[in-house]
Amino acid sequence: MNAIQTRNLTRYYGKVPAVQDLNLAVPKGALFGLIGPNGAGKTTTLRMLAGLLEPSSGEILINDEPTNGDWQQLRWQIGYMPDFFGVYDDLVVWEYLDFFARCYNLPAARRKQVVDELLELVDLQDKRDSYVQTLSRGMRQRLCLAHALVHDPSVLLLDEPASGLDPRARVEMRELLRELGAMGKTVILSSHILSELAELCDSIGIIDKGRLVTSGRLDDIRAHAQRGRRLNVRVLSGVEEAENALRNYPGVGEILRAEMPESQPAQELEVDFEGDEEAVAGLLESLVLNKVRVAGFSEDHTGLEELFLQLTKGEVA
Amino acid sequence: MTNLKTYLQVNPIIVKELRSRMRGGRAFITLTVTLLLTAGLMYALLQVMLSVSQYSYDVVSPRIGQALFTVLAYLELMIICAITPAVTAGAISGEREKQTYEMLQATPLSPSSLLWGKLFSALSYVFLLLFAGIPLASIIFIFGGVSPSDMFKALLVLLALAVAFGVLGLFMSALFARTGRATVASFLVVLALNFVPLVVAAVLAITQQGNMPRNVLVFSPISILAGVLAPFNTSYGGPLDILPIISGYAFRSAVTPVSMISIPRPTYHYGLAFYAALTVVLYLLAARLVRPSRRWKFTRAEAVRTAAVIVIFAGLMTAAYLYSAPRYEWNRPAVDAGTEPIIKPGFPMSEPAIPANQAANNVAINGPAQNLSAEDRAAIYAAVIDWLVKIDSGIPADETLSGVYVLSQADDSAGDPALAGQVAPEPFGPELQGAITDRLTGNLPAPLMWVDTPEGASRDPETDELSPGGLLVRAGIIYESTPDTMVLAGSVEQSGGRASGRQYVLARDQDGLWQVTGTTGAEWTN
Repeated sequence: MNAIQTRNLTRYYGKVPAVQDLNLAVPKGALFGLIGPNGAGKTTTLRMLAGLLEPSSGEILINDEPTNGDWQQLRWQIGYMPDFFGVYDDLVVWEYLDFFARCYNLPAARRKQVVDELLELVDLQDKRDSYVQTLSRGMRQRLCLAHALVHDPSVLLLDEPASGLDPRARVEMRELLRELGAMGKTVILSSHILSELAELCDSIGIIDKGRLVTSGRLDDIRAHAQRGRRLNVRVLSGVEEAENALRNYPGVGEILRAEMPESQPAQELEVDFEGDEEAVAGLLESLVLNKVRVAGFSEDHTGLEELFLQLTKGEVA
Repeated sequence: MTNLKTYLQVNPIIVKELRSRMRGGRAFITLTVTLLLTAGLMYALLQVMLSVSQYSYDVVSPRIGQALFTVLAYLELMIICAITPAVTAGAISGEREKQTYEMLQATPLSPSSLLWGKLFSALSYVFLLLFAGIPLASIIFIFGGVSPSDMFKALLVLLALAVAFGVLGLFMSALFARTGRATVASFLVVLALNFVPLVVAAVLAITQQGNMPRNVLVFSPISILAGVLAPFNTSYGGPLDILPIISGYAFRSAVTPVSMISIPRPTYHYGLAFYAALTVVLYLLAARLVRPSRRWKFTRAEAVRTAAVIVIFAGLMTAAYLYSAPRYEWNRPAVDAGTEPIIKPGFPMSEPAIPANQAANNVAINGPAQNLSAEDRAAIYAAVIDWLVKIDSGIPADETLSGVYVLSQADDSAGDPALAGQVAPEPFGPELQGAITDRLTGNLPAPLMWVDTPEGASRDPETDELSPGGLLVRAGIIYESTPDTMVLAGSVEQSGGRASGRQYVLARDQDGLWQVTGTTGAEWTN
């Protein structure tokens, strides 16, 4: 069951497309990251999913039900945190949350309980009676997250929840999101910082120039993007035999002999290889059978940042 | 309709706004400054009135009360014009600027709840400013001169204007993304509404050599308030003349004219209707503008709701019209005189024959007197004829008269010759004639003779003027102002072609006798 699904979601600002033919499917309970450079259409997408912006065309399904532009009932299922944090002057922290709880028509007794619970969740109990404008950026961000939770929504849309936070606040935010994931909520968040999402999300979508470049589980994307593996083989002796053995093995592409200093007895080979893990094991086996003394055998995991650049290559001006 | 409890809950916006509005010093400083200004101005005016009263015959205690009330009403209008747009113009755009607007839109809070909450909380602050001045206003009660209905009317107009300007500010706030622009736009419109009608009316009056057209003036809050304050500001020497800024011709023109033959609807009725309509229209537009999407696409339920609001409003206006029309539009006893003031060009004003302090400035007329007994009618006509012959004819008491001719029909053209031929005279019956004769016999300097037409009096055949020593007296239909105050036209013509006419106000004194107590409206002489 998908918590959120879009079909050919498109939004134009005038004649400029902000989002084009976006097809997303986020399963219930997933932590989904939307990644893209600035201006890629992440915020536009999230605003459409929150019902704040009308799509030019396309369809949005929430919990497998089409919205048909009628958002009044859906607002109880969606919590939205914008990429900025709005402060009301002269309101204290608990009043701020109480205000949003009133907006969701929570009865008085429940309101008090929710405010206390949320302040505990985002670790702001100490700031309960402080004016909102006196909070630090990290605290505000957490308060803003709390406001999106007053009505206990099943889907959370968070726009750049970690932007502008110092490392410590970022870690706290990450813990908080993990906690929400553990509570079974579907969380969709956007960011242009990939390393963060990689740690947090179980699936991501890469968006660029309003188009979804790719989406899915992180490992799948990685495999799909690389269409093969790069193996590092460290050989103590018998480099020629090793190269011969490798060339005879099916799936092996280019072989590079890395330059090593004279004093180093070992040699390193970089091998492009297409095949599954079974094939990788077979490759190692054949090396050993050919009397090559293998000192190291590893797969080179390209970093996410590199992957991101690779996927959006040439399209980012 | 989802559940009743939702509707009964306090609007969250109101809770939030009221919580934050009075925090910090600003709200209290504004309140203090407003009160100090009001108090200072009231005190200054009181001193002026008291010093004027030492030299003027005209300034009496009720006049001071009326002057204070007039000035206070205009001061409150100023406060409304200056503060309401400032308070509401930031309501929506402020949320946008603080970037809280999207967070609100993501909640189930409906656009109309948002608007209503903003309007209520902003107006409650404006009303606080207004009501805080009431203890200061209570000084008026020491001097008197202002009736509860005057106060109620002025308050009604001020509250309606406050609501209208509040909604105007909200509309601008929803229309413009920036509070600065919304504030400037609101103030410009408020300023224009106040002064453009006055300027246009003045230009029209100058170019057309006439009075200021009332149908232009009704749009200006200044004129509307002048219309409410009319009862004590129409005569020269009224409180409006004391303050040069708010006195003058523009004001007098805005004041509802009082006429013998019709009762024009007061200016503020039109003003109230206009501002109520403006409020509804701007509110409906603002409710669309605050939507996140589909601003101008109506669902069927929304279209029905909007239509219902418009129909209910139109119904209320129609009901108010039907309720009040018998008093105004449908109450045209003699001729359809429209709403033109009775002062007609070509009939210069004469010095009033009755001392100024006796003049009843302007008397509201409620149509032809219905409930007078035959005896009262005879007494009223006798008192007016007596007054015309002995006082307003200007003939010395020792001069011999040859005859007093009295027209045997009630003719309203006595008060205004321009009406001759337009109004239908009502013949006095023989019983009324007899009763009047009985009352006057022995009191007049010459025998009373009834004539059926003005030509029936003894006249010089060549000049068509009355014979020397002759007087022709005419009287009009009796109109009721209050059960104990009547108004009727009267004129006296004498030899040499001299004639004059005016409207007389008569009141029943403690002994039940009808006495001429003053005149009202315009006069004519020839």
